[in-house]
Amino acid sequence: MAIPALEILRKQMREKFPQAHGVRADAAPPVAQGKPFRAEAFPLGAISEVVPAGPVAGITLMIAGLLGDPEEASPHPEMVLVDGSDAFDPGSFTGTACSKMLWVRCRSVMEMIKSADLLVHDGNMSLILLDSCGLPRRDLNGLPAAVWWRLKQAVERNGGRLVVLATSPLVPCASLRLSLSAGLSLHDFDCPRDELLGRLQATPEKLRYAT
Amino acid sequence: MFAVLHIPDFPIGAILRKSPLLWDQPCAILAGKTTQAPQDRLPLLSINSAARDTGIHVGWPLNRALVRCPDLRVLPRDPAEEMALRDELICLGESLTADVENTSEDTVVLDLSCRSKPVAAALDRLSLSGVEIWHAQALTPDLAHLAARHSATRGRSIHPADLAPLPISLLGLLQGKASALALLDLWGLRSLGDFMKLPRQALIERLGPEVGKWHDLLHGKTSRLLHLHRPPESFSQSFDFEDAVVSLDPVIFALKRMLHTLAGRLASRHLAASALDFRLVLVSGAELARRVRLPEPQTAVEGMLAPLQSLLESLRLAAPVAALQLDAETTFATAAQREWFGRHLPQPERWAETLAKLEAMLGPGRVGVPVPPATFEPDAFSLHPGAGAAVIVNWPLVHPEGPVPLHRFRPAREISVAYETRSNQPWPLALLNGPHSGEIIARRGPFPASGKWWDPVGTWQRLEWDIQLASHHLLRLVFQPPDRWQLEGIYP
Repeated sequence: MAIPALEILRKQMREKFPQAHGVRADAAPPVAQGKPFRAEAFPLGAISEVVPAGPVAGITLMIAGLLGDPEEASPHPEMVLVDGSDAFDPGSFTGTACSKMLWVRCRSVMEMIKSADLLVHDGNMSLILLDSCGLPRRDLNGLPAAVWWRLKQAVERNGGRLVVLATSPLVPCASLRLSLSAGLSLHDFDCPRDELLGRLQATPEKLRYAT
Repeated sequence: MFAVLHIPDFPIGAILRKSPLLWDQPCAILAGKTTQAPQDRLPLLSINSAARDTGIHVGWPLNRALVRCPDLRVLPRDPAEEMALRDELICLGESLTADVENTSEDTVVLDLSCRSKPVAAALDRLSLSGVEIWHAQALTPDLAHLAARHSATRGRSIHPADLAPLPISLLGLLQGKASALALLDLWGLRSLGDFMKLPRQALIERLGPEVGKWHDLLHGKTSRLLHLHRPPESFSQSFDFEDAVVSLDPVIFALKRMLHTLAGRLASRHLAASALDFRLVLVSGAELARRVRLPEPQTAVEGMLAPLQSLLESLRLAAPVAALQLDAETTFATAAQREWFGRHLPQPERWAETLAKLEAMLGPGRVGVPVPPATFEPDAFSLHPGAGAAVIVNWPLVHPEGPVPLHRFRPAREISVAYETRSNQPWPLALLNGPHSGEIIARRGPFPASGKWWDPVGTWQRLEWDIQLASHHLLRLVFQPPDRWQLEGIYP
């Protein structure tokens, strides 16, 4: 009998003091249709996952879209890229775009998860990209599901956005899973980046384990 | 009132004052590098009085000077002695007033506005062993500077009219165009008095505003602010442990004590720490140095200790710690209201701690803001610290290599490639092994690139292709002569 009362009390406290519980007014996951090039496309206080729909899906293009092409350099990093396989190429971006990002260069799955855990608990960065592309599939599958659940709870508590970039579905507790497709070929390398970004399509997938 | 102290023939004076035996011999220093062997055509930079008595002058080429003075001894410059002499000159100036400008290596300007009594006698008494000191006083620093450089006006308190007989070449000491000085010489002006008689407005119209400033300066109409010399402050501290330390607690204890001292010294100077440098000296003689950037200027011990403690906790040392050294880079404490529309970190203290933990876990050079390369050299980038907004980065104006960002393999993967030769260049046909083997169905390239051709060790040369395989994967393929093929990355 005490449990429902406690739940009701918790709910009332959460509604009365949302900031203290890491709950924001727009915490409901928006349906990210089309272009995921803004941080707001991903739900707040949750883990999102982006997986490619084909061999050339344009995952790095999506990072370029998130960074944008600002005219002035940012005094502080605005997002973090936890680069699991140390594969980010600064030469593919402008200096002002790079100034918006903190690059964490990892060499293994464990380093990637530990770095993400530190950054999520820190709470200073509202958008954290976790790039697991390029890491051995066996190592990624060896991660216990509890790792992702703990990360999810930490993200919920701090109210940030954690976006996992993976070659195949990886996170059991993702609130949003986007399937990315661009269908690029070598002929597209002569087109400007903005045009290619326009072709990038993100389709939400049905989540069997979503919470 | 301003006074100027000047040491004539400064470079040669700095050397000869330690060698009294050479005082009576003609000696000279050549313009050029210190280690360079004397060359006949190099001009004379500085000569002593014995050499000047033989009739040679500064600026003459060495071969001409040797014709006039065969006994001339050419000495190499000694930067250490010159620095020591300059420091002594500054100390001499500071014995009269606290406001001293180090105008050039051989000249200091003293602001005497705080002195109530005349200082002429005190200036006459100033001396340094082995060198002569010229001085002069005037109402503006530049007038005093010009007066102190010439024998006709040195040792006096001068007015603008007293400068009239001096040669016009003295204007070369002031900031401005050298071409204007050459033109004045071409006009037949020989003394400063000739120049001062010219109408100011006409001079500006013909020679520009800088010459007008010279005119104002010589008439004593303008005065400038001095760039006061302030000795650099050091916040360095060191702590030697009586017994070598093998655990973390004594190190933290000593560090906290040093931070308390540092905080007190910072507070007394109204400063704050922007970065902390600490160095652990091990019993084995090895040293471990780390630099922790603070996201916001800190004066509190707790704010400085937390990132240091996080870093220390993650260290695994090969030997016990024998000593600890701490230094701080300072800045002004943040006293202004934060920018209303600008973005700031919610918890900057925690951010510095997190970055320190990340660096401790991943190692140095693994966390930071990437700065793209301003070169075509492959994978040449640098990392800027993610904390500490006070550091300004000159972001290079580079354009991305292509519209699709590369997912780079580090290191690049060595592969075998089937190819044929076309126009004396390899032409890839298929990837024979590696993670993405198969036939190449389309390619862009080759894009030749090379660099550092002047460096026999660092020179590089390569051909790049963007290729598409039958499996539709897009990759970047690189050929390095003579026969090395690499997969540099994939376009995922």
